[in-house]
Amino acid sequence: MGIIDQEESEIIRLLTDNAGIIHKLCFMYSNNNEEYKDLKQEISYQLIKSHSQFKADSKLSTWVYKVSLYTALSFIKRKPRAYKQLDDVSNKLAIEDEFDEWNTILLQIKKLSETDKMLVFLYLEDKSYRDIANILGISESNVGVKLNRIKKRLKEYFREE
Amino acid sequence: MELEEIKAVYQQKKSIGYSQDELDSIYHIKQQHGFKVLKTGFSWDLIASIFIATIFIVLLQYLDLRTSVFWSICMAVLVVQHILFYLLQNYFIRKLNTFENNISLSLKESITKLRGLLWFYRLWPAILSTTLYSIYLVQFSPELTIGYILLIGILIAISVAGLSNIVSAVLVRKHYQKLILLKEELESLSD
Repeated sequence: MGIIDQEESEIIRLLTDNAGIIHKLCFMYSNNNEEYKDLKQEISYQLIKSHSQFKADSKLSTWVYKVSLYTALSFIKRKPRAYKQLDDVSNKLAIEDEFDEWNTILLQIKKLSETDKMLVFLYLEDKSYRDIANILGISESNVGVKLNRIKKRLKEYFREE
Repeated sequence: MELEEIKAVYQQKKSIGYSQDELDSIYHIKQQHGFKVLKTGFSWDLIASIFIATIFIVLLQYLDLRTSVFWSICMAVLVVQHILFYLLQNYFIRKLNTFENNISLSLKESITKLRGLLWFYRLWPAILSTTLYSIYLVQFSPELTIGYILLIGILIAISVAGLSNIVSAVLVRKHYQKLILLKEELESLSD
């Protein structure tokens, strides 16, 4: 296997192994099919680009969370037009169908601020407070306090509805 | 529905993976990393600056002054620089967004780098226009007092730098401000 083939297969493995994280994060941070596609492409691109920076002293999945969340945070409003659009029709339809379902589940969460959304995403992904603190760069105790506040706020939202 | 209930539903949801088309497309981007992101398209302000520069150059040639060719070349150089700055913004933003140990550090690092880039946007046009003006002084030795030479030089440098910064650093400045807001928001989590 040549160097390019090996690199390509590593990239494909990186993306396919972490497709779940990327997919759910894109639904959390996008409001329509176009935004979903742009964000998915941007996250994938950034993961591939910074793959060489990954250090084996942490888990690969934790690194994927860091890069993906940071990309979602900083790139969500920017729409890269230069990229070749993803034209797979079957995938597009599947995403459109799924959007309605996700929007029902995440409706109130999507109204939160970008950073609160990030906390909730990691909580929904069943990450421990320690992992969340490590990914975001804040203390564990602050994660707990902030998540409790968000839970209370969401409870009020649902009560009002 | 409470967050715990959402979590239960959320974790049962299946994920869509990557289709072969998506993988091909993303790998294609990786292979062409770099200049693909330059294509941001022309905006009205860029077209306006090219239009003004063209009129300026035509007028200079029509007047046929001793310095017409020199100032026409200067104008063309400034416009080319302006176009390059404008088109390179997306590339620079991507290039300067780095991933550090955590999101907080990544934001801080990217903000520092973008701040540096904004200073480059501010200073380089001023340096370039001052250099061109100095060449003009040496080449044509105009009969001006030192006071006038300095005044004109400063005015040219400030106006070129100001215009270039306003028009060609739009995306960088927007992105920079957004990162600052995110950093402040993230810091508020630590309150």
